[in-house]
Amino acid sequence: MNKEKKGPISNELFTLLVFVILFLSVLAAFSMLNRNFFSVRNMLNILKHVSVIAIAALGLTFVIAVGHADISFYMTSCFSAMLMSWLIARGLSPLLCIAAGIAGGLVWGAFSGFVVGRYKLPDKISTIAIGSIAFGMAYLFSDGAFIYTNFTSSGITDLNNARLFGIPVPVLIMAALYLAAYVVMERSKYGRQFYSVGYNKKAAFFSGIGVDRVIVVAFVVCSAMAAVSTMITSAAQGNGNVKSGLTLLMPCFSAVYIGFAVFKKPSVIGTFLGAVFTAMIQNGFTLMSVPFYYSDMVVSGLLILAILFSRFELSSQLARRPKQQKEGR
Amino acid sequence: MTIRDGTAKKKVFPLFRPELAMIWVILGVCVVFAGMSRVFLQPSNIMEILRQCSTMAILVLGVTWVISLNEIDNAFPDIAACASMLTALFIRNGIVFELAALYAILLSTLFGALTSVLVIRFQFPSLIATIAVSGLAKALASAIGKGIPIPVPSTAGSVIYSIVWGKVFGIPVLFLVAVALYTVSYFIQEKTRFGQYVYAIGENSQAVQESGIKRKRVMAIVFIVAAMFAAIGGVLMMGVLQSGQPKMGTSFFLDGFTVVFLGAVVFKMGKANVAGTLLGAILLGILTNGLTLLGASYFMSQIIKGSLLIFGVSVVTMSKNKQRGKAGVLTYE
Amino acid sequence: MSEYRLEMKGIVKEFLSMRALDNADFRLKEGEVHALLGINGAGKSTMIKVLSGVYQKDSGKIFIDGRELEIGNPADAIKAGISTVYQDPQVVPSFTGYENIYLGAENNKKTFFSALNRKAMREKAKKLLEEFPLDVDIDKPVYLLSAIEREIIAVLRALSKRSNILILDEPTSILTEKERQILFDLVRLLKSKGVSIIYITHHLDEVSEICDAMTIFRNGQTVASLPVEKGKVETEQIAELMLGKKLTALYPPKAEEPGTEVLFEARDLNLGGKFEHISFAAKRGEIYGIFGLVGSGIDEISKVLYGAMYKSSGELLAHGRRLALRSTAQALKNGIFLVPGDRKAEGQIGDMPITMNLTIAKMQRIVNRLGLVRRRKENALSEEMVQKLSIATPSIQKKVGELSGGNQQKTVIGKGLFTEADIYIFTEPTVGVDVGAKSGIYEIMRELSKTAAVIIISSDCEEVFGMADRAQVIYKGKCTFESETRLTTLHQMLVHAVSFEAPAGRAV
Repeated sequence: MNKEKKGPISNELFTLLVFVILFLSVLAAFSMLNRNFFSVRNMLNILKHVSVIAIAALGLTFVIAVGHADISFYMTSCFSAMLMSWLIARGLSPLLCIAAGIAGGLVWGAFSGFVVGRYKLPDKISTIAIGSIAFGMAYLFSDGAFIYTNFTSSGITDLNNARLFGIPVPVLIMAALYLAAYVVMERSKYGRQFYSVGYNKKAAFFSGIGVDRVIVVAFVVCSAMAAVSTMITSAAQGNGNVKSGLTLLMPCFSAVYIGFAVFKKPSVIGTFLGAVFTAMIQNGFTLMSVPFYYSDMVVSGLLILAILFSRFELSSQLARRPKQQKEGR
Repeated sequence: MTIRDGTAKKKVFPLFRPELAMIWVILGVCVVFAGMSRVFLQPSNIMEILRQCSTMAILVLGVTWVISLNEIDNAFPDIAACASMLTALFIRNGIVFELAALYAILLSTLFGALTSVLVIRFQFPSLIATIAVSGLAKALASAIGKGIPIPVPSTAGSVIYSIVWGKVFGIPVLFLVAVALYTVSYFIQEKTRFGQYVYAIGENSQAVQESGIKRKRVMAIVFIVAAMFAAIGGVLMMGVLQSGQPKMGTSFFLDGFTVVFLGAVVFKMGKANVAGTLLGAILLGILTNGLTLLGASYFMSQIIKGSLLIFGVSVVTMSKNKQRGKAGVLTYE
Repeated sequence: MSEYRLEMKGIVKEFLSMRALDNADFRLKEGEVHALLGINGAGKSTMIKVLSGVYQKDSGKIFIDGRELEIGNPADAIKAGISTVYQDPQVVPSFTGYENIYLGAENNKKTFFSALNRKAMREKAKKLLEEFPLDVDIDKPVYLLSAIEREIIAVLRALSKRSNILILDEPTSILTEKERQILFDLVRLLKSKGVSIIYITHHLDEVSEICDAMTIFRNGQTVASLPVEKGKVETEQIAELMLGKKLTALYPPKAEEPGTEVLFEARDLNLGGKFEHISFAAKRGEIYGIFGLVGSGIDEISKVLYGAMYKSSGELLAHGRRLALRSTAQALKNGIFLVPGDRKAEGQIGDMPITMNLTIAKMQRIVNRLGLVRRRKENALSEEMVQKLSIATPSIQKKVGELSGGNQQKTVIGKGLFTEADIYIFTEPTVGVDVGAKSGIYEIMRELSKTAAVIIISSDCEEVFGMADRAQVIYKGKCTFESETRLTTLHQMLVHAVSFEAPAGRAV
């Protein structure tokens, strides 16, 4: 019993290693199946696709980190995108429109945050309701029709296609947001507060942390990030589409949970790896002209496998240790 | 506010008890619509409402049980879509309508089995498990028809056709079927050990375990049954639309939860229950129908439904907090 | 047939690093009411949890009616005729009394979908109530019932199983005198029917009133098993058996002179239904103690002092200023820190490393102006704290959840020291802590009291008596006794913790 053998590498490293091997083998498989996969152009394509998923998933990471779930972000993001498109059609400057879209995200996030953090309503159902209201509001701007007006002339599509040092702007936005989020989550006191609330709300409360506030902030960040992500989609497509955010739910949850499985906590780097992995698989399938719905299947399969994998490891770990039981008084 | 509340023994005329408020709400809404639209109260329209809400009612019958367990099921809309596509596929391949429906329901129920394995054996949070399962179901639904709906030849003459479109004494058969299913479920919920355990697990899982009840088995059955009813709903929906629809799920998502949580407000304050769900489905059917008649836009109905859902959830949470008591609660709670 | 209905021999149970049961023995005859006595942490609760299948023993044997038996889970215990009424009975709130009584045993059929006959269940419950005349409304949903009524429901649930062995875990801790008598009548009735009862209690007067025998636990071992002569319990002797002789060595010497400067004061604090009229003043340079049994309201008092619960009325003053605490953050700002009573749920963040746990309550000390953590400073300060409190760990990056109980508690205390507060409240500071670490924690508290006001709130009488310079005793939310500890005795304090006016010597 006492001879607990420590392997040459720790559990975390082993998980990471497995993930990297998996990642590389998927890359290899795709490049063998399709010569265009490794082309610069496709790589940039993948990166653009990654940035959409990764930014929204980054926001979700905050909510999962505080121990909650948000099922509204992909619907509130539709509202933000439509608000932006509507303002663009009114002829406002694109930066102002983007700011308005983000503000819309903030408001919806604050709504969800207050309902869940302050009034303690169950997170899943209330966010479904709030998301649905936001989605309904998104129809307000054009009654559900696409908004094309002014899109090309306002400069927002140019903004999307612009490059800095050869890197597309959305990718730069993603990089900046991830850098900021990494610093906040891993290096700042705010990150500590998010994680401590997620790990143990009561203990965080007894350590003087304003639990309610932290939860509200997490929901606000989540909604704002989702807004950014869907506005990028709109700019890329050159129109405002009510349903442009609806495809985000699955890949975002799978990105966060793949990262969760690899790093044993919802983390910025983990989510990024998960998002890259998810987007790459979706792209690889598209390149091979496999229909989109199969990639859906693969993504959900991936989500299940990632969690299964972490569960198996956990159970083998538990089996090695003596049974943990609550101490008696 | 509870059906068995013994503290407030004020003599309230039974029809005005708060747990029956929903019935008054429904009647009130009907009066408003009747005043605004002449078509609304015509018998044919009322029968149409009943027929339309029946599909939704059957679809979320199982979800009601999942919510009673204090878990969540995000997969039911996509399982329904998948079942509708499977039925259409089988019919196109020459299988008799009834058999096609049966196969489709059985196959779609496997999704529920998968959910229960993930939740019970591997301890996934039910949210994540059902999101993943819904992804699989959605993908399969799309894959079957390569992303587009599959129309089926007229099903006139088949059993399903008569269920979906038939009438007995002017009442839609579909509604009668829904009522029958709900009656059976009501019996199970109120009069069997199983129903008792579902609520007990939802309220205090530890008490259930200490009593030596097979908790995991109860949960597994509930998740599987939820998938089965979603599949049945999907097949009926296919009968209504005369085609398998890969994307029919999106519209069920909000409607389904709204129905269940509105239902939780009636009869048993704060607990999802089948009788309440049926009433909730009828209320939602009336709202949808009335709003359409009045020419309200999608956005109006979406906002109304979302607000109703938030309202239902608030009432449920409030009544749970009331049960827990207020004394000695931490300042952040 | 064996002489004993139940025999437990050489039971050993270890938690992570602590031996909670060390070769403990126990014997129970048919129709006997057998008291289990011992101070907190002596092992009596662990013993019954082993018996009822909540814990699995590491070694030892259990015999029922002379046959050896393995008890792997609660269902095994129930099958063997052992049922338990826990201190905190688990019920389903919205179910009626009778539904709760027969939860899991609604009818004799095995299948889930067998019909539920509520009328029959109610009839059965009524018959049960006729047999054991208890005052409870079985038709109400239990969330409307009082604590005692829920307890009665739990007792009835145990009785409905027709067990031969009934375990009552501190059943009277929340009962009034009248309710206590009802319970005792019930115990006598059961005894006359041949049921053996294991009765866990702190109250010696109860032992003399209804028990036939008693077994005393100390440090996980059985130290004595004695018969009880009616009405005669040698209080002194039993107290000595329960406490052992090592009493004084564990605690550091007390303050040499009384404190002068009042740092923290409570005036007439009330919290509806939990406690009332609590007043005290804690001074720099001494330790103030509050002692009360579990459920007497001491945990709520500690939380109100820290702003974690709202008070109904009363005043709190720190450093002479009146406080209106609405959150724990405000308490920390005013230099107050609480070591919460439930370490795992409230004190530590088990999945975070030691260093983050130490610094979380005052991150201003380790961040720069942008709110970024200065790692090097954090690590240096954490190392220093680990050294100072002698927390045994290979690295400050180790997760707190992986430490032993004592080191976990030291980490929570370290978190408080890091905030540089000058008012410290320790609630149950040594629950689940082994003896070695205990004296370490006591040393820290005494050292701390030289520069700060320290309040110890505990259900361990010995601990309060040994540590505090002045103390008060709480019984049912009211202060029953206050004194300098060197002017009183352990027994006197205990007496006041179990009754409003208990004659001296009746209780331990």
